Amino acid sequence: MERRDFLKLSALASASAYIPNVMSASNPFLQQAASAGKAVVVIQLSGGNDGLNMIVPYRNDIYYKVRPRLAVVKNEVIRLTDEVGLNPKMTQLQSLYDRGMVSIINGVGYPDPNKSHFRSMEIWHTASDSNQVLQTGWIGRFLDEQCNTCAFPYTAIELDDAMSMVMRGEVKSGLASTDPKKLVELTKHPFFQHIVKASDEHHHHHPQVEFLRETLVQTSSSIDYLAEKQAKGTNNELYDSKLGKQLKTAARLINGGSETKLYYLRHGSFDTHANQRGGHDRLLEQLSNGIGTFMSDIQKGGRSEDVMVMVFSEFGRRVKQNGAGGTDHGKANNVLLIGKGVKNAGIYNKMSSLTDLDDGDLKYHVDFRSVYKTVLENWLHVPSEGILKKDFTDLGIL
Amino acid sequence: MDKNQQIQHFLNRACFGARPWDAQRYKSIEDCIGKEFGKARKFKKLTPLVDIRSNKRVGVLRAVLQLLKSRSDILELNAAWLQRMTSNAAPLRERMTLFWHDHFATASPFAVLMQAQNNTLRKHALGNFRELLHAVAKDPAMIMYLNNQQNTKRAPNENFAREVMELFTLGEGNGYTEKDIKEAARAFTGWRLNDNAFFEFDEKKHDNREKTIFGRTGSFKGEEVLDMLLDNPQTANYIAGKVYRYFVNETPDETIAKALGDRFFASNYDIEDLMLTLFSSSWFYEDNQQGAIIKSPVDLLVFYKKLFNVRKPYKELFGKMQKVLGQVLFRPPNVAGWKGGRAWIDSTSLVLRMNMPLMFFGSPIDIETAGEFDLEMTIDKKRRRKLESVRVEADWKKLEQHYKKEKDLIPALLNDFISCNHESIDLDYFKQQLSETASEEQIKWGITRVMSYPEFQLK
Repeated sequence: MERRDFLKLSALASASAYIPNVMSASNPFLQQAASAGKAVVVIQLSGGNDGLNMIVPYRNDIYYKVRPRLAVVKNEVIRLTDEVGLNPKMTQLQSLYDRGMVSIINGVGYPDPNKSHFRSMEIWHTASDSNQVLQTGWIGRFLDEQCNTCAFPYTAIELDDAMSMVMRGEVKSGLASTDPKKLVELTKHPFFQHIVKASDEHHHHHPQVEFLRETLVQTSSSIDYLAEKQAKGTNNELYDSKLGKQLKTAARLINGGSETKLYYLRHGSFDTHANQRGGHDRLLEQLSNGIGTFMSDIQKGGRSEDVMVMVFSEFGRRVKQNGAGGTDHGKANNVLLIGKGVKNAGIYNKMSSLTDLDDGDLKYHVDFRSVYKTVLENWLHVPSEGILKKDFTDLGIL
Repeated sequence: MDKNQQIQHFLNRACFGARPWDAQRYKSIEDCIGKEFGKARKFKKLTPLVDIRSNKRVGVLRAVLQLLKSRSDILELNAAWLQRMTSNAAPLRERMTLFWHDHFATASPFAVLMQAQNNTLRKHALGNFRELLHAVAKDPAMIMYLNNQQNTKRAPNENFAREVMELFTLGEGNGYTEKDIKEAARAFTGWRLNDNAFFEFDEKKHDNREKTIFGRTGSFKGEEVLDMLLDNPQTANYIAGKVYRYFVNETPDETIAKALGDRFFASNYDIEDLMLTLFSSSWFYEDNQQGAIIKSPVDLLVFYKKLFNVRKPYKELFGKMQKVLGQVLFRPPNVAGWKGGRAWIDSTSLVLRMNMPLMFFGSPIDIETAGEFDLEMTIDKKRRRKLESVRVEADWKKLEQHYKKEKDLIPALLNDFISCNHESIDLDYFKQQLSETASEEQIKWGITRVMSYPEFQLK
């Protein structure tokens, strides 16, 4: 046993240490992956994204009146309709919009909204009611419900070191890794491999030992699987930002033919209480550029028909700017669905009123679990009621 | 179980694990229990932070400053508690404090409030649950966390009333209705924080009209609702059942839990009596209890720190490890606490757990400082993330000395580090691996390997 074999631990302990990809990029058109099926890429905007400066009501005088320091200037807005425009930094999103690949859902939220980051994010993760505490996430429950086809944790992957509650089910959970090809190094030592092999060959009387060793076997094969797909997939485009790097990994896995159904990515922080404009614009630019590059990559990999991107945040921000050139925690917000499979692309519903407010915040009109339902049933083709614990309205856009 | 196994089993469950030399320090299991409970009677506050809630009014500016400072403060507090858990002074009291932190799960943007709550939990950790519940209900971090600050006569907020029944006393669905929650919420109106962030009862915001709760009608105050909950034996049963799953076996045993609950109720909620009964019962030492519980991330970190006598706090590293393994002190996932049990194990955490012993070889580990351990939600655009290389200073001397005299190293290691039976471990392979290692390195590698087995994750 060599000491250097152990030094790979930093692969996990470090989130951002990024090894340049040395895999050769073969002809992307040779990457066949049609059998891998549909997938969803969820992008969480952590911290409460200011939706009003992303999807801008540029004809509305009230918007300019209550945000004298913050509003996006009318002639800079990227106009989508007579009423609604995009933040000027989101040119790549505009191009996807123009190609009919974007659906903008306005006023998404839930009854009795909570303005704490943690609680509201937890509500989005667990898909609970506002006064209900659940300990499993909707993606975790998707894994629980789909036991027959989701034998392995690679079915849902969070591109991060630590796994969020959203990925945890009652008996199953997804896999968390910033970079599967670095995670795989932690499993390649002969001693580790011996334990995996022995675990696969024997059953154990002790229920906890059996549980751990069975998890180990599934884990090891899942990590191998992901690392192989990641190596097989290719990227041609350049990505910037931390989000970009996560999207790059996702694109490689998708182009490599991974049968992963859900990818979970986090971007932010969007908690812009002070001096919002510059920082917020930059985050939106990274989001738009990242998605644009990703879409172009999976197009080249022949997978663009299979992938739907969903962008959400735990809440929006207050309609009025605050005294520090920022915005405070609000309520309803936009959700974006992006992909070739979007039906009736464009603005799905009217923007929330800027005058009929809930204590200074936008009112919600669409329950966020309706978006989940739409994605689960019409994209991943699984029944949603067991996962969401209730029946919600199908938005009819996928 | 033989004498040593009994002592190990008790220390694993009650005192963050037994090092190879710990068990032999006690004459018998009774001696061990007696000494550990004796040590746990001492109460020493944990105060790494200066609590500024003194006489001056807090005010908005001071609150904001405090909030900004809280990010580094919470890391400080986290490291201090982890360090305290490794101390041999009163590990049982710290273990119980952690149990209550999990039970009364709270998070706060204000680190000093978490420090204050932590000391409240510590103070009552082995005391009386009745007093503990009353104290926590008025705890400032809890008041904020469950929105009692917003609970007023004009606009009642049900959050605290709901969770106190669902999670802190009766348990979900056990003997309360939505109506009981609504009415109880009115009894807690006016429970709030004053400008110095201490508890106060605001008579003007309190709804003193009649309420009907659990079939009784009166103009109840919050304290009376807590007493009603405590007068219901279901509360004792619920707590006893949770204690059983946490300290004895993840699979519940209704008969034993019921007997524990009855005794807990009869003792008027004496926590020390409950725990002493549990640890003195013969069923606690039956063979099938060995390895019945999966170690929590904090179990692992505290044990490693103790085993290798890691003195430096390594705040960022150990904070990061808590995050990746899924248990960050002072940052429970929600008010229900950590799900625990098999939920500790996912693909990534299992791989990391099996590689963890390697952290103590003195190799550099790259970690990201700033922004990583921190709340994900806070503004960090100005703070550059930077990579730092950490080399953990581990002390192997004592371990080497301990095993030097050992003729048969492998059985000794298995006895000391693996709490379930060893039949799942391939001894021939283990022996062969060790024989290929240079003799002066054998102890180190043997310890590293034995802790890399999945079985080491059990206690």
